[in-house]
Amino acid sequence: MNKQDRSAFENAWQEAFEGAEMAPSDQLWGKIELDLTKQANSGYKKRILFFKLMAAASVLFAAVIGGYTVLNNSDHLKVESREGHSITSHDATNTSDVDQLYAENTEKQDKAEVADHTHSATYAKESENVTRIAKSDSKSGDKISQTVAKAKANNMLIREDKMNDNTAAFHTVKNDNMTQHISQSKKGEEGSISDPNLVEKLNVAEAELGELLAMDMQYVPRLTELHKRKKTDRDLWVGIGLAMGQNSTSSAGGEPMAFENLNSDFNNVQRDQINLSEERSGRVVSAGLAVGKQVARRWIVESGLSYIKRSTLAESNLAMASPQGVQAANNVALAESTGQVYLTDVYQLRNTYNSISVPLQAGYLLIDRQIGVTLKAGLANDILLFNRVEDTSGNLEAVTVNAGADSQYNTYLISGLLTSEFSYLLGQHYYLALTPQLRKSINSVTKDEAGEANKPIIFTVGFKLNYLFK
Amino acid sequence: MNQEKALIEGCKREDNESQRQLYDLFVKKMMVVSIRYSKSQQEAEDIIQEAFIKIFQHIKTFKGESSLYYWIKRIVVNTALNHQRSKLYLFPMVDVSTLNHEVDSINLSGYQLDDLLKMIHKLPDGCRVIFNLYAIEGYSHKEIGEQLRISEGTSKSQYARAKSLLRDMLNKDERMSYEQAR
Repeated sequence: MNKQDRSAFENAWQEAFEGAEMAPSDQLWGKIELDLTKQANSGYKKRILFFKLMAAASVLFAAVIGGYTVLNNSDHLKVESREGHSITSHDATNTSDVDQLYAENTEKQDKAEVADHTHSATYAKESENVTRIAKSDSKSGDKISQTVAKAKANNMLIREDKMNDNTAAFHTVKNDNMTQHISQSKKGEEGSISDPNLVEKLNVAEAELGELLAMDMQYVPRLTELHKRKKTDRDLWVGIGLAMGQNSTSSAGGEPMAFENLNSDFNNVQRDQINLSEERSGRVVSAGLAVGKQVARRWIVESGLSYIKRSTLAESNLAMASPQGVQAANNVALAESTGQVYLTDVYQLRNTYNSISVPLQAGYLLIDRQIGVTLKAGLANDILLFNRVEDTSGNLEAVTVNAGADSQYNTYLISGLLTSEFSYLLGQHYYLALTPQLRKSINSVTKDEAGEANKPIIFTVGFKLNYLFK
Repeated sequence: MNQEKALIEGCKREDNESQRQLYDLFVKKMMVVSIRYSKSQQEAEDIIQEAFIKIFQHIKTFKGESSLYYWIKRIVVNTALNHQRSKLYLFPMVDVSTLNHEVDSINLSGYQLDDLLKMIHKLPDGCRVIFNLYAIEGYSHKEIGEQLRISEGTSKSQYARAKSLLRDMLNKDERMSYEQAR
């Protein structure tokens, strides 16, 4: 403002209010403090919302994959009548019934025999079906019901084979070996024992009486293979894994505090001459061990240890002298401490963080078959070992800074984890898994918080080979 | 100065104690600034509350190139203007050349702070804001026009009206004091 335009009137008023003070009410600070707390909470809410959205997206993705897989299998399982009789067959995608009946009949069987058994079986229904059969035909029903009752008493599987249009053969099997074959040709004829090998052949069954005898399951090698791997197989496992990905820094700007505090007369380097850009995204590589345990029907807990190398890129024109030579620099305070700070042409600087991570995750087994889908979420404690700053062109010497008081980075980081695991069982003890993972730092990487805190987001895709203890 | 610097660093770290100390250091002066733009203590405190939230949110961007006091004051004034913006209806243009240019010298030393505030509060809203910005904050009419999105001429006419009203109040007050003294 042009001071000449101001008159004595304005000056008098200005002087009258110079240094004037007025006390506010006592509650005012409380209101301000409450608003600050609300804002801090809204930040946490945004973080929680972020993880919720990621979890929802993972669940949706896994559900689509799982649904597609299951739907693909169910197309093979619907049983249709050969002669136009529609069988009120149980859709084999009702896995709970399948599991129940399968468990009833195979509990006492040797696991090895089950594993080798490549044919599916027709399962006997409950006694109501037996009764229905008995009532429907006064002559054949007696024989049939006797056979069925006998088989049930011995925990046998009952299968029905249609021999021809007018016959129905009832085969009883014990384990994989036929012990009795009772066939009945036409109504009223006595059954007789025949070749047990016939029973090995699995056919689509149709009840002669038009009643549902048992749940039919067509031969589906894939489904039976899938059933081999039961939920109880995942008791304890260990694994090794390797992952690669990318990280993006979440710093929105602001200069490092040491940069602001640079003595502008230091070594003739002016503050406004320094060109040190923000760190931007770079590569991530990790390798590690995992150990996990199933704690409930569909819940697992997994932990482990991994080594993570995360790099970021930036531009700098700062260098510092050391006994090793002229070194790349991204930390002005460190550069100042060496006593010699130089300006160079702008070069690309890579900063590689080397950390050990101890994750702890809880997981939900969305699909637990030969193909498995698990959703996991948890936290990781990342311990910075050191960071290495290097000129990518190689003109300047690299510098390694150990974590601790001299480092501008926090030694301990807490990160949130969200992982989807897509696994495939190889044999009895091994499974291979593909693991896309999202990792978000909860506290800042940098000690100084001038400008925005640096809380990188890391996305990796990895492979794991796990060994199952049984 | 070092104390102020330490407070700034503490506030950047969102340290509650530092925030409280900064608030205690500046709130009384800022209350006077705020109450000049508002009509009541409650309204002034609302402005202060909002202003300090902004101060703590943006203190990370404070580079130290200007005085902390003026930086905080600018935020308080801007917050007060945001509160007042809707109330700034424009008077018809007054040709300032027709106004009576009396001798400008006045003596406010005999007035208490409350008395001065009462006089300012009697001004219409638009006049009060422009009077504060021109006479006390020291902005030019051009800067005021840019700030409030009005013309420079409107700012001048509003201020001229404010000045005229305040002068009348002061003259009236002097006459009353003289008559009481008699």
